[in-house]
Amino acid sequence: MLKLAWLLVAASQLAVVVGCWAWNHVHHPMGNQLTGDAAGMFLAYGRLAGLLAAFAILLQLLLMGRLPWLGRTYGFDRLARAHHVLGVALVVPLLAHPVLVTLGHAAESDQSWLAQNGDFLRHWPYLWAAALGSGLMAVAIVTSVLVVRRRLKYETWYAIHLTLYLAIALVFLHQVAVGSDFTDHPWYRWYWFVLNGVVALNLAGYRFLRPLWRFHRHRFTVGRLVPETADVTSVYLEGRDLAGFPARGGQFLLVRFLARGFRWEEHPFSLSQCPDGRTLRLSIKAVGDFTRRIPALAPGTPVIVDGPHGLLTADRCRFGKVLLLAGGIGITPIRAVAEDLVRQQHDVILFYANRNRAGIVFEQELAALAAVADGRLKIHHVLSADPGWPGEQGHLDRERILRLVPDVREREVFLCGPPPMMRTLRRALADLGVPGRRIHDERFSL
Amino acid sequence: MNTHRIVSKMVMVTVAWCLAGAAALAAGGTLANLQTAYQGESNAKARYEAFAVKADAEGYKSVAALFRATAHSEGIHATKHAAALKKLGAVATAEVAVPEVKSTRENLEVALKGETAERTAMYPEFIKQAEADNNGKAKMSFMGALAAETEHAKLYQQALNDLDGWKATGKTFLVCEVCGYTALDAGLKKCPVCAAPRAKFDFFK
Repeated sequence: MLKLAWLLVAASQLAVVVGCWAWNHVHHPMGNQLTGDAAGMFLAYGRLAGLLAAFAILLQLLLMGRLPWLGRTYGFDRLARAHHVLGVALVVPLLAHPVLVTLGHAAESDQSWLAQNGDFLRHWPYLWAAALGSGLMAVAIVTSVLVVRRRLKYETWYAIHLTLYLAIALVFLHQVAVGSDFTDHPWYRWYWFVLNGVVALNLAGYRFLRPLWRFHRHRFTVGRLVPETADVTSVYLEGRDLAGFPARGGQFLLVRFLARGFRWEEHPFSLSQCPDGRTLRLSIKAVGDFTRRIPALAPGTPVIVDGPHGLLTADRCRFGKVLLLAGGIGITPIRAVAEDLVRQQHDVILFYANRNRAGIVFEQELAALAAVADGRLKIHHVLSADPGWPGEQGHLDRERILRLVPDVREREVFLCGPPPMMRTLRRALADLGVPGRRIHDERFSL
Repeated sequence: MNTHRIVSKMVMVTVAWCLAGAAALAAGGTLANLQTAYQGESNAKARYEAFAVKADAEGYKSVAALFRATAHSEGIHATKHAAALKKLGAVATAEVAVPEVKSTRENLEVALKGETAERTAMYPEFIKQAEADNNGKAKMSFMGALAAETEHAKLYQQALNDLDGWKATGKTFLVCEVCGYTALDAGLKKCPVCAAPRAKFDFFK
């Protein structure tokens, strides 16, 4: 219901933006430009493209603004995916706006498209800002396309993405200086200022000020580091008044370690243990430059924490029976959710898929949890490349789930693992008749 | 069979001839209108330039500035009409008569009457014809002129209402060099008609 409500809010604002544009261009001094001559239409639809791009930029800021009210409704992983898709789609209005508007003005002033561009840069205020801002946006979009992004270091991609704040400021100057819809209609101008102000306040408050406020309150530091496997390290965060930090098992934190070589990067990591009021445990697998350096963190290192975020918690469970499916490092939130579910007396079955036994994280911890669960937690380790393993061998698939969990249709399912595994399992669960609304998952590539 | 073919061809030729004739007539309408408008704007430009000299001589400095501004604006409209004519393959020609110059008050009344006629009758008709002829360039040219003439008429009326007040200098008029829009300078940042920025305005004072 809330999902629909926020969508309606966004749609209503889009309707205001497009409605005002339509009114302005129907009642234009040069006649109805929506259906008039070519020059008028170029200008009208070019401006619409600009407005849509500007509106989409505001949405982009909200989608990645870490706004708790939005995250609680949709989940940050889905917001991040929407941000990516919308970002790539932004190419269309970002390109269409300058091309169409230049065609329109060139026709009005009887000069070539190229000459009109020169005229723009020489005489029109803040056109240089728009050109520079759009250029920066184009670079950010291109570097975010998967094929290109894979070739870039995370730091490079992130630094490019940070220039978007400058780009947005530059194109905003252009909008309010020469955007006909805003300059000719004071009420529309005010509406635009309020809309941008609301977004800016949310962004400043939740993305920047809240983590600083949390740091001020809790003074997070690295407590100790515990190796779990050859490539997984648990980082225990300590701080003041952690009982007042509202995290649940299964949620994730965006952390920035304030140490040399770490401070410029922020990454999401799941809480792998239910918070106990004294520590917060993050278990991190060495998969890249940043995570490979985690074991070198010194205890006492201050940490900026943004969060908690995420919806993958036991709170979402409405049934007594639960199936947990984890793959690799995807066990981190699942391990914490299992702890909560056992405490809440649920009947839990956990499948944990790895290549071999050496890859199993928390093997003993999970066994200990099962031991105190009084039969309410069954664990199946499924190993795909460990011929000596006495338990389940192969991949986590439909047949295995059906064989070991015949009542799967009566269960709530929590899922976390590598994306291909999650896709396969979602299909398998659908085949087995588990409704989509009972399957909960989260992806962490923000 | 041959008779049938001949009749079909005759029908087709007749239809094509009718269509071509109708198109020529329609284009002719807008073409003639463009010539009329070009003639009108060229004469208005000459008239207002002469009126400006008279206003200066009589000490109406701001009225002189207004006439210079409107003359410049009419020149821009004439250029735009000429471009639309060129697109139709025609050459703009105008016979510019020697203007009859009277007192500044009378000149303002003549100018107001001319602008009123253009904005209430001439240009609305021409715009309708251009729409009927599907001639976007001509329509845009007429629309730009109509928007400017409306402002010219307002400014002439203001001058007539307070002619003594317009003796002093101090009023600055701006003319958009893209569309010819004319207004008293009240810090306008861009043209309300064609959106051209302030840098594209010519100033008259």
